[in-house]
Amino acid sequence: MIEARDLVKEYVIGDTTLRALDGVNVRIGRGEFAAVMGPSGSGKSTFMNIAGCLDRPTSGSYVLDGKPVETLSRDALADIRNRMLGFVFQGFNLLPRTTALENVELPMYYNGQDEDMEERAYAALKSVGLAGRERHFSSQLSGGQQQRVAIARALINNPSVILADEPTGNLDSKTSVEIMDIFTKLNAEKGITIVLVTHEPDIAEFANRRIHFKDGKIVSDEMTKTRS
Amino acid sequence: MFILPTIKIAFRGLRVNKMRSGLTMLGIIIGVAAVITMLAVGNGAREYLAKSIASLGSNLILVIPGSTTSGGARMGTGNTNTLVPSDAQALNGESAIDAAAPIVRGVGQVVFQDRNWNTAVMGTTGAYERIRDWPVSEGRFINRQDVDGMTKVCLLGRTVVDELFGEEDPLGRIIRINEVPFTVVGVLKKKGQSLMGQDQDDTIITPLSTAMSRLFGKTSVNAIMVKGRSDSLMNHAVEQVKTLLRQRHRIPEGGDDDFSVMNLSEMLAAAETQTKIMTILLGAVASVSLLVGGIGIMNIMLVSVTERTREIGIRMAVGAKERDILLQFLVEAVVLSVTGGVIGIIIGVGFSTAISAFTRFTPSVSLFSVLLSFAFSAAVGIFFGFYPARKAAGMDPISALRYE
Ligand SMILES: Nc1ncnc2c1ncn2[C@@H]1O[C@H](COP(=O)(O)OP(=O)(O)OP(=O)(O)O)[C@@H](O)[C@H]1O
Ligand SMILES: [Mg+2]
Repeated sequence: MIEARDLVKEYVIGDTTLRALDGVNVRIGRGEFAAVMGPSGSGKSTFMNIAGCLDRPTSGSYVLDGKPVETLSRDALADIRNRMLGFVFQGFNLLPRTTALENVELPMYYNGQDEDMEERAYAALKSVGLAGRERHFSSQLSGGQQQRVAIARALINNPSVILADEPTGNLDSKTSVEIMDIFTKLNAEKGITIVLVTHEPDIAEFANRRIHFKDGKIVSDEMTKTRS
Repeated sequence: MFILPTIKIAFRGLRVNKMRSGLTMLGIIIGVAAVITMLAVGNGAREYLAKSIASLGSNLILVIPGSTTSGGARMGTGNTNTLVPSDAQALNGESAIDAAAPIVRGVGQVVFQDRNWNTAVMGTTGAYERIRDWPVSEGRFINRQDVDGMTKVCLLGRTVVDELFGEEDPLGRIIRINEVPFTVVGVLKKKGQSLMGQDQDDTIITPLSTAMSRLFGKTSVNAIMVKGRSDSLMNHAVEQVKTLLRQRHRIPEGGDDDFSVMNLSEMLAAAETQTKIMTILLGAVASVSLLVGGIGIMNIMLVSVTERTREIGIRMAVGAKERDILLQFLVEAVVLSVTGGVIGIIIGVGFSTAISAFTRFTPSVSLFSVLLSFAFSAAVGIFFGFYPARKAAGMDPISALRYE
């Protein structure tokens, strides 16, 4: 599903060059649930952004679902993000002054399928346990609820991969567990590939694979559970 | 597909930032209102002039006594007694001249039974009807026999009829003008206001001879009105008037004219051209404020794009293509400018209507100027919204998402 070979990402700041990713090689198969861990600044987010086609590597290759993506245009990448990928961020990243329902509908605007948009958005919100909050604005929802809206939005176009960068980073432990239950269910029931960055070992427990980053490199990669 | 929700979102954005949107639109509102008002005033003035020209009669030349061309010193016109009825008679024979009518003017106190009225009294000949294109609505015009026989007959303008007779039929009745009894033989068709705003129907016409000797005791006339044979012969007609009158008045070669000739049709045409130029100028000045309004929109759109960098990042992350973002901000700019344009049109129409209370003419808002303003404000939105929208669409998704 996700296949990175010798991924390098460099940032040039002034006259120094910073290697955020320093030769990352990894394969994450369809239906896996992988946790990405590592100290702050080790390149986890940088990796996730490239995996999510939001950013391009300086060198190396990245193949998503069998297709190399380095050569694709901006619009083609946007299309991949829209149809194949779902994002969940630490900061929720919902649109301000917009209802939960409209936030969930957003990805559908961008692929031209406007049939029963609203029903689908309702269903997605229900599946993350937010039935009855459809008309609430982002600012009227708690952090956990906002993150559920973000998950519903990530799900709406039936992606094959969900990329979550510290989705529980801003939540208390009880809410975190609820959110993780949703991910686990999505992975188990729909077979969606999930890659999740976290600092917390108990959150990583939910995954069945753990990838450790350090200084832009993968230092360990272990399967923790046998896949069911 | 995606235009309708975009428009909805754009309107919501406007409502959230009411103050800012209002101020931004103000430039467009003022611009459009000014354009609409200026074009309406110009149009109204032009229509009014055109109507006045039509009501005056075509191919008109006015001859008045006294010179207007002697070194600028002697400017007093109409006070000398150099024009006489026979001058007009002689002019009638010229080839480029269709008809010429001498005119004497005065004021008269008119009495019918217990009613009286002060009005302008004019003595002239039968040619006047043809020259001014001013037929009677009842009865007849004065004719040669009236002038030759110095008969005491008169024609009444509509206003005089209304004042003296009300609903009664004035034909055949006898009225007194400055104590002299006159028989009413005709009523003039309603003519309306003159270019100077006078009521042209507040007048009485009598035979020239009767007015000169019985009413005003004059031997010269106040003016001679001449109608040229055709539009193309007007310059020729003016020349013939000058040559003939100089001859008749025995003015030596090199001497100054003792009369002045004005080509009224030409003057009115010139006035019309001036009005047109004025309209264009005013419209141009007004559209400058539209341009300024456009710059205001561009400014606020740039601010908005920066403020909403994160939103742009989110939209890109969920799959918005460059053209989607471009369209969104373009639509917002156009919604701003078109909303301003529509408000401006409404204000402009209101203003034009209000102005008619202070002017002789009615400013007329044309459909053309409304459509023009609408199209122009939309164009301003597209033009000035394009750069900010382009900037938004060209953002890098990851930097946009990280923007604080
Ligand atoms: N846009 C950027 N410009 C310059 N340097 C960057 C940029 N983004 C990331 N970096 C640098 O790249 C390195 C890796 O950053 P990254 O965000 O991937 O770390 P991380 O593992 O996600 O850390 P954290 O756990 O704190 O989120 C860091 O040293 C960071 O300073
Ligand atoms: Mg990070």
